[in-house]
Amino acid sequence: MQDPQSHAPAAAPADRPAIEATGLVKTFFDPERGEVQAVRGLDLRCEYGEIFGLLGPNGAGKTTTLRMLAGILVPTDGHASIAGVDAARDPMGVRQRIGFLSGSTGLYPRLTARETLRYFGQLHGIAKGPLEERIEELVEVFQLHEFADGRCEALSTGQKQRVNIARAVVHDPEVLILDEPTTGLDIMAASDMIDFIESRRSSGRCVLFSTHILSEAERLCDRIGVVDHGRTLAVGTLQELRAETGQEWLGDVFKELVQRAAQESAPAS
Amino acid sequence: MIRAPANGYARHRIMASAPSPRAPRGWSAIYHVAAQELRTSLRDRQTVVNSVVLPIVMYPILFWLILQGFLVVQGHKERTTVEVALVGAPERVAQVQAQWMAELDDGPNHTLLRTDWWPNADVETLRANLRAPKASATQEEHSADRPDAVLRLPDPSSDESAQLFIESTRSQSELAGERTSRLVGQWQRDLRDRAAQEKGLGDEDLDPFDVTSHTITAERDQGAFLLSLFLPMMIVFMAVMGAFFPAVDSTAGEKERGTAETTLLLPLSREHVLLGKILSTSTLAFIATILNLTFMGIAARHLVGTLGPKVPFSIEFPFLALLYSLPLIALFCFFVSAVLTALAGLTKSFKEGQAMLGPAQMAFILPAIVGIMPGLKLSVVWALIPVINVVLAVRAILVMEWLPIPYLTTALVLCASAWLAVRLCVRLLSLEALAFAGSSMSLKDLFRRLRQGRATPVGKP
Repeated sequence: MQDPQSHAPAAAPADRPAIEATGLVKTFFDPERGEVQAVRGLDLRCEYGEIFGLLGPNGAGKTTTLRMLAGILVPTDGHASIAGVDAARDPMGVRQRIGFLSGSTGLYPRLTARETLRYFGQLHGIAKGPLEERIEELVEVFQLHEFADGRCEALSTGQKQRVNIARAVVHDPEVLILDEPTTGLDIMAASDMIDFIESRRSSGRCVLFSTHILSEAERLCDRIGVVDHGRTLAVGTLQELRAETGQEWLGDVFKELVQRAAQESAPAS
Repeated sequence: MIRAPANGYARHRIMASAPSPRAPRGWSAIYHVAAQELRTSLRDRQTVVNSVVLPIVMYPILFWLILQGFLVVQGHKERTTVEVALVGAPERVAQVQAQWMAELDDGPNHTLLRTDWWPNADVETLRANLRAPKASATQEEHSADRPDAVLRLPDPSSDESAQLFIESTRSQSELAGERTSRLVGQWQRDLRDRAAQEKGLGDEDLDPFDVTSHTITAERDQGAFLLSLFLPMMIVFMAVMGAFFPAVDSTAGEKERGTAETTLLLPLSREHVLLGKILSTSTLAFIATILNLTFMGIAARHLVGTLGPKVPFSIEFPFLALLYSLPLIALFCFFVSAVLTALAGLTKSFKEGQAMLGPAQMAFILPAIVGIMPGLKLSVVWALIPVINVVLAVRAILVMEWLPIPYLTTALVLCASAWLAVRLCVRLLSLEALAFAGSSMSLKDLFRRLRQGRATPVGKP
């Protein structure tokens, strides 16, 4: 499953990163619990042509971070930018430049796959002719033929995932943000998703994805950022993380980093 | 499973590193969202039934049922046999029985007279025996042979009046009372005529002159006047009903279906997305209102035509008046849609949304009822009150009253109300705490957050 557009090299600007976040903080107000800090000063930098994995347990702040980067949550503090566009100041500009996919970005059930692609394509300003060609291209590549004109509500989970990926890349974004993209998918659909993520790297696009599945991170990521309790514990290639922790397996690397962080924060608290 | 990319990839580049200058902005963006919302709403069976099918079929079916029900009840009443007991002074009883029997024999006899039931009982005994037994009564009491009405006739020499006893909670007893009253009335007139004849008086002495009333209003205008009493209220009802499901569907329904975050990702401002949703909801409310009025008018005209000369007016469907009312109706639909969309957005599921909007509908319906109170007329002061103003304005338009200043005030007030409702809707539904699937907020919690400044908008509203 490879996006044909991804074979056209993107004009990757050398002077700025694809994604940059510094000191990102997000505090929610909960009427019952008061202030809840989901992200506490997270730093991140992803380059064009890179697959960056955000690795962390449930509740580590991965989804909140990705939502802030996508311009759908406003950071309480810190700064985030996508392709040089400030996510807090111009969230719409950010949404125009990214493709975003998560478990909670469902498809409109009463639209067909083709109508969904057309709707998103129109809103991204693709002219009618090129848009129809692009839709046919995506139908071909993601093999949507059999169900492209059926309502999305009638599709299987795997079929929905394929349409959703096509939806996320209809405008050929330079940055793709994926939140636990293989969660809930069967083996075939998960494998398709991994193929697709790999296909984006070769054309100089950036993919940032969160996961708690270590094998996925090992296989796909150029660099990995380990996060826990809303903070970045370490960032580097798999080799760098191994060297830093002295552990061979990513699972052990992850555990070592979390334990170190807990020890460091214990005297302080 | 997935086909490897064939040659001919990247026939053209869609986008490199900047958004397309062709991306819709402003009204174009709102139009795209509204069209998509409308398309999905019209594919929802519940919305189609509520906004299109029901307005078309409800009134013809309702009026047909009323007519059939009326005919069935009437026929049943005419065929029902009732028993009337005559008690009191024996000579009077005998006299009345003889006269009435003769009269009743002329037609189908569905009124039976009897003189054997407690003939000499006092009033209290009659009351006690006529009353239906309680649930705890014995079998004998239940099967007691009671008449449906009792006419107690006094002695002619006494000053006492005749008394008719019925049990008003029993329809058969009510019917017996009606028939007895008719017979008594006829008997009274006969006695009066006989006495007058004996004194040499004629009809002209008893009724020296007649009074007949004539209206100078044309039958058609009477119909328009009657329509103006309830049609404006129906406009409010139908606008609210028509906006109900689409408002819930586009907000709480979206959260329930897991597409709320997909909508947040649209490359548009939150304001434009919400305006598109409100526009779609108000279009459906407008369609529902117009369809409803049209088919109600057609059905009412048919009903009046069926009843024929019994009805002293005719109903002409007020096409022209409704045409003049359309701008006000459209503004009102937009206002209602914005308010209902804002409220439904506070909830996280269809069920919660319906529960929230149920009572909220009363905020529109109660002022609409006030607006149809007799004697109330559109003035500049009334035109300042939303809902009441639209009811009174449409009422005035239906009877073709020309009130330029109050009409203009009504339009301006509706515009201002709609604008405020849209601002409220955008402010509320742009809150992070409400935007995602599974998020909801009670009104109390909302006010607390707003007061504490804890209401963070999603991206830039």
